[in-house]
Amino acid sequence: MLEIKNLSYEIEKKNLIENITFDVEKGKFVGIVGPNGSGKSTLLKNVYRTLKGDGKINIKGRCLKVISSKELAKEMAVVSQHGGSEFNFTVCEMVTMGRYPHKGFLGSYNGKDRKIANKAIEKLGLKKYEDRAFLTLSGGERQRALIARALAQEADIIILDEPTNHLDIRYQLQIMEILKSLSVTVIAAVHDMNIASLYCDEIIALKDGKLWGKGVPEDVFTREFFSDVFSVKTEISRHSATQKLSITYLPND
Amino acid sequence: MKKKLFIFILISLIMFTLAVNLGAVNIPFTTVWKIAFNRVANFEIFSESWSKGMEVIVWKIRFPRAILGFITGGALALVGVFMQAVTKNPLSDPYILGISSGSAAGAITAMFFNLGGFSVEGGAFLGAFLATIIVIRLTRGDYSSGRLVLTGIAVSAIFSSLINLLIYWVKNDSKVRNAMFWMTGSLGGAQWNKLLFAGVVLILGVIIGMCLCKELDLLLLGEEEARILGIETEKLKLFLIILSSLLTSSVVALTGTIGFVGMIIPHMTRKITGASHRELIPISVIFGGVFIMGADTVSRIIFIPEELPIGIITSALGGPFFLWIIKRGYNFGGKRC
Repeated sequence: MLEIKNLSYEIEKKNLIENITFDVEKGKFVGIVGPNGSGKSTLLKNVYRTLKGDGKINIKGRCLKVISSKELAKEMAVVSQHGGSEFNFTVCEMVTMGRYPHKGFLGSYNGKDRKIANKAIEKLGLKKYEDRAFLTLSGGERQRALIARALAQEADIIILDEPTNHLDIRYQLQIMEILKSLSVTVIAAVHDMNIASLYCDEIIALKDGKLWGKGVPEDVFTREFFSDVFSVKTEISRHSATQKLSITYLPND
Repeated sequence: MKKKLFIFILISLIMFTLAVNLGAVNIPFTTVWKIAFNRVANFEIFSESWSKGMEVIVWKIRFPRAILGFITGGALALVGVFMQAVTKNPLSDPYILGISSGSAAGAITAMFFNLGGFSVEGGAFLGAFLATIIVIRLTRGDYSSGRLVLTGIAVSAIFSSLINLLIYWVKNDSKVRNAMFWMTGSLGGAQWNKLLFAGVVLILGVIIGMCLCKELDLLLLGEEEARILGIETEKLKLFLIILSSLLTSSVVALTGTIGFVGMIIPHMTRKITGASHRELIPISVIFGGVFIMGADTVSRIIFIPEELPIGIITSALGGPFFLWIIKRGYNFGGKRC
């Protein structure tokens, strides 16, 4: 689905990410983890082409560099860290804009587009905010609206740069649940390791711009990983109900 | 949408009738339209109950002037809409950004160096394009209001000094008077045969704008967002800049610099339509047209028989409006952010 080979990106002779190689298989939920400044956003920005580094990125076997913006938007939806500022569209208008890549030059959004947008709005629990101006929403509601827009885009890959940043725990879990339930490939920068181990099929761990390790959460999330990458002590066990890893952070002394 | 459009078209027809009806010589409403119908049909549908002089005033002077007013207001409002989407800043306006000054400087340069009739328009276009490119380059993608407005002031100052320098050099009375007209703005030079080009450019601008309304909406979300939703933002922005230069220059060549319309009108229209361009574009254009027709009518009748330059009226309204927006915080319609 997505192949990244020897990807590096430097700014003023400083490597923000260096020589990163990994593949993402179709339908997988991939979590990018690492401390602040480890290059998670830089990596994702290279994937969605806001930054152009050295190396090779293929999407469905085609080189990223030759795909037009519109074609790329049909394959890949992005929820970035900050969206919009001074405009004042309604939630419904915002989500409908996710249909843009599917429209021709003169085509306007039709009944089918509205239906798809409505479904996304309902899925994210935004029905009652539909006609509210985007700017009047809280941070969490905005984030949900942006995710609804990404769903309306109907792309095969969804990229999220810290998707649950502004959300309370209920919506954090709900959004991961929704993303998991879709038959799409998801690549997300994730901060919460317990959530990552609960939902991710695969983990890409970064440290200082380099690939520290990759694999299923059970392989990556070890005590050694947490002490080396984050400098924190942990206790890791398998939770009896979820059968997933449960990570407990321990005080330093 | 249809209802709003209908109301605005009705308002513009009323304003148009008033613009022709009022003046140093008041002409009855019915006579205004009777003359128009007779002229358009080229046949005496209504028997002539008016003097020849009246017909000249209505058909040769006030009709083209009102139409020019509509075109000017519409075009400047449309440029405001485009530039605000390109810069993602609701303060953008051809006057504030210095595009109008650039255009006037280009027109005056072409006129002073006797480059022939059409080159006044050509000069106006080149000047407008140059000014826009300078503003966009100097702001380097940072379209925060402070930077944008300051750059606009600087660009405006440079082109104004160029105009003054040319006026100082040439010292040919009639040419200097012409140049002064470009500085303050006036619809006084309206003639039927000059309306065609500007009218066609405006109609094309509206059609293209309507075709691009999805893209313009996305531009307001910011460049990164627009790009990840599938827009080639650099190409689109360049195209909009060229189109805006063409629109600005097509009216500046006829009327000189008339300020603030491009900022006030879209801002007020968004209160009615919201930020979406599908409604914003047609209603802004009509509203802009009504605004300039109205301002011009006031400028003609306020001190009869003297005529006030229209720039005085628009700036007298626009300046305080500008301050008010700065004071209360600016956004793209709806609630304050």
